[in-house]
Amino acid sequence: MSQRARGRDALGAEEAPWSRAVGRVVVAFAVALVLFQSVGLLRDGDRLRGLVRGQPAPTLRLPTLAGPPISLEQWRGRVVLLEFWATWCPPCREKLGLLERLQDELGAQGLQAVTVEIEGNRERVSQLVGAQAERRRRGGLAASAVVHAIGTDAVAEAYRVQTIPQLVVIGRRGEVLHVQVGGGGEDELRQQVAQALTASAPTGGGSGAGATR
Amino acid sequence: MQGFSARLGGMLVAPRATLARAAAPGARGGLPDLWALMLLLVPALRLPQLVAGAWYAIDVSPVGGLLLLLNLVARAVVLPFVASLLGGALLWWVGQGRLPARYADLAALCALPALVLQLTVNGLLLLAPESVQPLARPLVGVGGGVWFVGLLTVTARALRGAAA
Repeated sequence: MSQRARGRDALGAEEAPWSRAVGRVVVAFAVALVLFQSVGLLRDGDRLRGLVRGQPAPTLRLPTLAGPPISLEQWRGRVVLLEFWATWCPPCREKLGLLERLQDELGAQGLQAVTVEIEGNRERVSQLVGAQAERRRRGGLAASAVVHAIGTDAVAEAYRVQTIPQLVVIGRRGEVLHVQVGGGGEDELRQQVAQALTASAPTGGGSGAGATR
Repeated sequence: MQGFSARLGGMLVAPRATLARAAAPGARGGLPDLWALMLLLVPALRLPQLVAGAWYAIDVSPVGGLLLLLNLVARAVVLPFVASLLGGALLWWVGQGRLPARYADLAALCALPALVLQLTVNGLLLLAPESVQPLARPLVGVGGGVWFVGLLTVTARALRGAAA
């Protein structure tokens, strides 16, 4: 009787009769994991939804690197551009540069850029910010007016930070106007900030500052 | 012909037999099985991130949300897929290039147990304390890699014997 007739393959190994059952167990386990997570999401899935445009921005009270603690209310009447970031994230550090440029260009029109480092790594933040300040000084620029805050888990959760960098444009009345995550998107961000600055100037009687797509 | 479940289970309990069947003329499976397992694995282990990406697409930016979702899927599938292609190239070289498409399929089958290991351990870690997860994930990666290389070696030796 040949090897094949005896249920052996060309390599001489026997066919395992329970292969299909094991495969089905693996598939069933994967499906069970999906169901298990789905139950959790149905119960508590709202936390995965990002900030919704038009909603009031969550409360923000945080310590800063070298000044008094900040709160969002102190900038009521200005457009606030928040960046949630971490020191180990390269696209986040690129966005820091963009925030400085926007603050330089649009600060006089009512923009306030604020960075919030989400891991509480004060020392590393201080190094990075200090290095950037030194570059500005050597380039003949004045110190940046960007405020650097040290974040907490509670604030990151309140702002639904799932991916970094996360940028949030907050209007003059404290409402969320735009959310952007990940690297790139400078043109869109500039457009959204410009719209926010012109939508409800403090001396005008303009209409609501809700952003539209 | 064996179905997906049979090939998947076969790679776990009887890999040599399963690989021999997959190397036979007219056999199915391999890369399609790898894609099927990854289609299961991504939602099984990344469902909250998928949902967050979908919400982002709805609330903020469809294009941004799509990019987030694609990034999530890509991070899960790129390594197994590239490993299969490189493994297939190795098997092609060993087997003297007679059936190039099947070599990629054979390498893909060799990757299945590593993915099952990832699915099982990371799935169980969903129930474990968060402090355990950073320790376990690198071990799963190393274990899966060793398993894949081991199966690839077995397959290469069999092909070299057949080519001789």
